[in-house]
Amino acid sequence: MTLTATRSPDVPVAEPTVPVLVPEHWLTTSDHKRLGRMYVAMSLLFALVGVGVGLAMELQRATHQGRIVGSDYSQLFSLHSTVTVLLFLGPLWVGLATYLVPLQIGARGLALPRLQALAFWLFVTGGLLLLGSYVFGRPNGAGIALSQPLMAPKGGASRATDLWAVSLIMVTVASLLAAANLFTTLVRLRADGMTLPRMPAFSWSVLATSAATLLSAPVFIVGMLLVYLDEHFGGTVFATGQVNANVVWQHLVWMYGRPDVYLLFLPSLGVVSDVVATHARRPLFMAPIVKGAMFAFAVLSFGVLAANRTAERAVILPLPTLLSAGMVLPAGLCLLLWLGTVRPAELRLHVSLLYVVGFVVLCLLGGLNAVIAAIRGVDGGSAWSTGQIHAVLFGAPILAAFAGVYHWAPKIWGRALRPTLGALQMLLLFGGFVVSAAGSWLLGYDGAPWHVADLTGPGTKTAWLALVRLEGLGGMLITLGLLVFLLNLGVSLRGPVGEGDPYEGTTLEWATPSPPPPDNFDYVIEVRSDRPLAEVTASAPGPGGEAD
Amino acid sequence: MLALESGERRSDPHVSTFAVVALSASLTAAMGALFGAWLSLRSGTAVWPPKGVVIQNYYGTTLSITILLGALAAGWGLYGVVKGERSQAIAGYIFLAIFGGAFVNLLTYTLRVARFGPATHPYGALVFAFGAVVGTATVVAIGMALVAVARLLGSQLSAGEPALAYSIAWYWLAVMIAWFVMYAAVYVVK
Repeated sequence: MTLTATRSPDVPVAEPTVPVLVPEHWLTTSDHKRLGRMYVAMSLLFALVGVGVGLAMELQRATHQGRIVGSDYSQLFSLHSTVTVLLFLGPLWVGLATYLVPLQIGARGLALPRLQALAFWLFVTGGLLLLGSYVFGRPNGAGIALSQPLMAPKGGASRATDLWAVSLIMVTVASLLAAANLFTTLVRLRADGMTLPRMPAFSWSVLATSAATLLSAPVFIVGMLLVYLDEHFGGTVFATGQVNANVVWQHLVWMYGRPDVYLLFLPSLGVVSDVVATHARRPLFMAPIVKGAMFAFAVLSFGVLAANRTAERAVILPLPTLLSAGMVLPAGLCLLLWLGTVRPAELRLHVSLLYVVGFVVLCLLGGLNAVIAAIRGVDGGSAWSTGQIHAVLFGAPILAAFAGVYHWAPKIWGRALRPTLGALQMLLLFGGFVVSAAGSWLLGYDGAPWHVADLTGPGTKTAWLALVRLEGLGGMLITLGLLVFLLNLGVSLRGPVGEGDPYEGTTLEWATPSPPPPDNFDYVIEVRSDRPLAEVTASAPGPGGEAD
Repeated sequence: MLALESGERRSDPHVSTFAVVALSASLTAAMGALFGAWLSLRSGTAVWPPKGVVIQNYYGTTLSITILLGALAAGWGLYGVVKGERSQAIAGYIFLAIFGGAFVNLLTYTLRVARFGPATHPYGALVFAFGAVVGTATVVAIGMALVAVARLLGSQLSAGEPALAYSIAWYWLAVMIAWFVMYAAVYVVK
């Protein structure tokens, strides 16, 4: 029996919708495909803000006078870190998952589509309010991912800090709702026969990420609620000098911060697994092991909390670094199995594979640097950590996300993105992350502190200025890379609609036209393996032959 | 059969119930985080309750009884829906909304007369955070109960479509857990 033989003649084939950048009814839509595109678009807009702020900070550090952002450096540092992590990378993953998960599991939509619409608008409103808090005034500098208490002096209620805390609560509630929806969709709406182990790797990674988000995000919400109560009412939970302020904050928010750092990385493993398997034209080598590794990655991300030895009165386990090092094992296992999947002779050279290579190289660079830093005893509070964050925890997932965007672009927009511009963008992003991280790494090896507005004062070295400029150059390359993507999107979407399955894909998202009709599928295949389309193709009749 | 046509796809009546259970797990995680913060603060500061603060067990006990009565009402509503007895279900959910309202009212009163708050003591912020989370969760439950009443009146909630009734039952269980975490912190752990 073939795929086409099962199509009911009474069921009309829906015409592919014409993709547009701003979908009609965009205010009221609950269609997961539109919401997914809107998530991606908004996250890219926020990315430009976050990267722009980062550039302004680097310019300040690169000049001798350091007057570009002045004393607002720590506030802008908080803005840069929260926007790039919570308003760009996180929502970019949510956008891809919102679009792709129902298609990959053979569902007609999300479990609760209106909840996803609510989550999207909550995210947009929260994001705009977060930016707005800097218009109202200057929210207290809170550090990257809020990993330290608010150290600013208490001066009574600050509207800006209040708004900042409330906006972050809104953004996190949005991610919580989206995670609950994706989790429910993956557990309850899979096609007949699609058991959990048969799910595509990306959907599997979304399942693991969503489950972990459901448990970690509430901790952050509670932390921000305490910040709000403290700030708005002039409280003293996090006041400087409060005996256990650091303990409460660090132990509470690290319970969110640590998993979150790794959960932003986890979908990368799913995307790369799907991209590699599709373009290698082979099943993912030892797929159950890869999926198990992703699950282990999510579980272990909570354990890294115990390795936070810099926290006051931290829980010091006998081998604390074992928990950090343990995170490398699942990721390393995935890398080996991707290599086992690829046969050079059968490989389809697609631009998304360039991003995969960039992702792997950045991870390896980060791993190598961690070993060198451990041998040389580099301080974790030095600029070295900035490099590590930019390369491994932010740069690598960004490249993986764009690998996914280029891979699924024919499905998402109905048109493949230009490979030449894609390759140029990859070189700019990869080069930007490497150059920026290299500057930070070298600064760290030389003992430069991180999060410092001016590196030209007493106790600093002249050579540091050149390295700071190197960081700035990296930031400019990253900005250019993002602009090239927007250009590519604008140029490519003017082309004709492509075919539904340009890769001879084996997962269900390629069984439907591109872009998919409103209900995704005219009919739903009963899944019998983790490569359902390959099975159908194999059972298709040859010329003049009989179907099974 | 290899395929089901789109229109023939089975509908899963418990999708929303499952999502509510997932979000209830998040509510429990939030309360666990607050309880952890509470214990962390206690380990290095003055003993609870702070000097000058009087904790009246009467309020805590009354709040506990109210929330347990709410559980009975949620069970009453679910029973009515599953057995197809609409008037019983409506009565159950109206009582649930009333008990929920009474709970929120007493909770805010308890916080108001506690003679301390976020500005006066670190414990104040934690107690108010506990109250904010439990209160917000209860208000959501009241909203769900009122939606259930409206749907019962419109015949959109029945034995054939009981998802909302199960969702409310599970969610109220999570609200109860949230309250008893707060109760343990404020009234039990001395």
